Amino acid sequence: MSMSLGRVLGAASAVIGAGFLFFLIPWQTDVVPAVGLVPRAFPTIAAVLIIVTGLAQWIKPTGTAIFEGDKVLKAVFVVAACLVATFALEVVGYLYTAPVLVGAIMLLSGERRWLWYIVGLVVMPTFIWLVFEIVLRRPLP
Amino acid sequence: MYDFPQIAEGLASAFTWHVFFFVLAGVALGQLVGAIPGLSAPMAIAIAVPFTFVLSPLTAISFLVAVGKGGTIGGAIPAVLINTPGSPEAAATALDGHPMSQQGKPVKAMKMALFSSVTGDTMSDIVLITVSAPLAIIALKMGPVEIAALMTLAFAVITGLVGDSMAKGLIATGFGLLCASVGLDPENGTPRLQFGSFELDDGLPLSAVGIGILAVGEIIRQIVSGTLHRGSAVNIPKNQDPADRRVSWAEYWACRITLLRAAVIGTFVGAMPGIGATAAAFLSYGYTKSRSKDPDSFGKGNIHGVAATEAANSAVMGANLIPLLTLGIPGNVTAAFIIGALIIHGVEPGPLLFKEQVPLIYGLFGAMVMANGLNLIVGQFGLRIWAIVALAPGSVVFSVALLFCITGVYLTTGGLLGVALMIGFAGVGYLMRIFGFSVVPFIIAFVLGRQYELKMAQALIIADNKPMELLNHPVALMFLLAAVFCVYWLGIRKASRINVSIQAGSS
Repeated sequence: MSMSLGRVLGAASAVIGAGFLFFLIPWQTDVVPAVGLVPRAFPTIAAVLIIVTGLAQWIKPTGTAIFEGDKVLKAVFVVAACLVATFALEVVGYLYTAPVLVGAIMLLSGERRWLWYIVGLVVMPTFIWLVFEIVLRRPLP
Repeated sequence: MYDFPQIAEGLASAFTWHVFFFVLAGVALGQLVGAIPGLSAPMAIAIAVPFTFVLSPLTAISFLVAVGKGGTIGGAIPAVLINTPGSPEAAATALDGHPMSQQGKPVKAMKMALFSSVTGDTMSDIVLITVSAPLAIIALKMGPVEIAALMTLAFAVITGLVGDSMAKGLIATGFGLLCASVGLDPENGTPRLQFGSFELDDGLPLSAVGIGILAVGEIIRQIVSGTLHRGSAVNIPKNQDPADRRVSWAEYWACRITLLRAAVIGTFVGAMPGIGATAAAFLSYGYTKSRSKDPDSFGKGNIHGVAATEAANSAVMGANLIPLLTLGIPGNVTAAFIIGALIIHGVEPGPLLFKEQVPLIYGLFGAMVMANGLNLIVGQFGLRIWAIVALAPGSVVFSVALLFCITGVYLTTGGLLGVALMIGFAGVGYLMRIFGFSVVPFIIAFVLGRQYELKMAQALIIADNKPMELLNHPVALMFLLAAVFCVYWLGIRKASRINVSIQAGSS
């Protein structure tokens, strides 16, 4: 791992921890009189743990890390496709959304054999739909 | 503790057609998933947990354990056939399994892996069944102060042993604890980190977080790897010498010492939180090679190599239920999901199980023994079928697995919020993987978080908010000192040694 990336990860973790400690936890927890732990105590302990170990990682980076921009970009596309598919599920329904999502992911994976597209786009989504809708009687959108 | 009528009732409830069917399905699913490189038993368990909500606790937990048991066997199939382990713990199996395959003995290697797995798993289960009840008696003497301290020690050990950086492991643990804080706080019932969403009153759903981080995060990593469309060439010769297609009793018996040793190593490693089946397999392989009269034959198709690794990695499965059942502490991701499933079914994991849930525990033991037998039978008939499954290109397997995840979480969380959370956590899981943060401490911290908070609160009340009160709890003090020692030994000291060796290497 490049030492700089290790340091960046440590610093980023500490900043995220500090964001929770000084902003999110006070904003998103109530102050109540408590006998044992007050509501914000436990998340505060977790945030402090992140800050302390993040700083330790920043000072003395350890472990491995790989950052490949093109792959991260692809991953962002997959996450975005999943989110779009999730919202499309309720709008256009499972039977239309599922094959499009599977096809997009297969295309992104580099699959070019049409026979496997039939399996991925037709056979498997239909199988899943039949299992849940007909066999298990769990309604899909 | 030993209520024999209840034990008999538990065992009887395991040996019913209903449980038998689900254990059989679990074993088959585990072997199938294990045989597909990139998918693993913990991923299958994460995906399966939501589908077990409708089952009885015994059937659900037996099914999940059966998936885990089947997965360790399935992982050996692609390791032998295409030198690509189906699961990380089968990596060592490829060392001798694949050379055996190249020598025209793929079926013999797969069968030896199957027999060794079942042997190791059975021995480990015997240890689990015999030691867990006495250990639970000791564990029951511990109060909230000791349990909170023990959990702290478990986090220190797990973060020190899993992954290659303790600092990153502790960051992942902190993040897991933060995620566990979302929802109504268990002490006062006030909302925390919910951003006004009443749907999060019960906290972040385990299915969304677990499947997102563990399964979909890995699926994304595989999809973007750019190598999924390539099919694997598996070739099992049809006209083989019968002796190369089976493992004779003489061959199996010749491996008895190797199997016994591997089972002991696997059981010992499995009972320790955080070490895992991969380490057990390599430890066993290394030790077997060092004790062999012909160490040079290892790596070239020595059947003892297959026996040593498979018996050890399968022995971990039973033994890692020891800390789970006796202390309520999961040793790995599989155990964490089983704890999650127990909680979902209203069963509190820990030593009280042996007092309040005797039929469930002994039913589970019965189901585990049944799963070992079914593993052997399904493996005998299924090895060739799973070998064909390994041919399916990853582009199809992972796309469909992704669809399964979305469908499963949609159905169990009852709407889009759960799926959106799952996808968000999948992104986090992907980033954790590429940046070297282990997801294991995160999952374990997330699953244990609420219980940890509750025990800390109770400990604080018992200690009357005075830290010096800890001196009246020597066992808790010992656990905390051990945790500090772990942080020093596995974190600070290891990091210093790595830095020294980097500097020595560069000079």
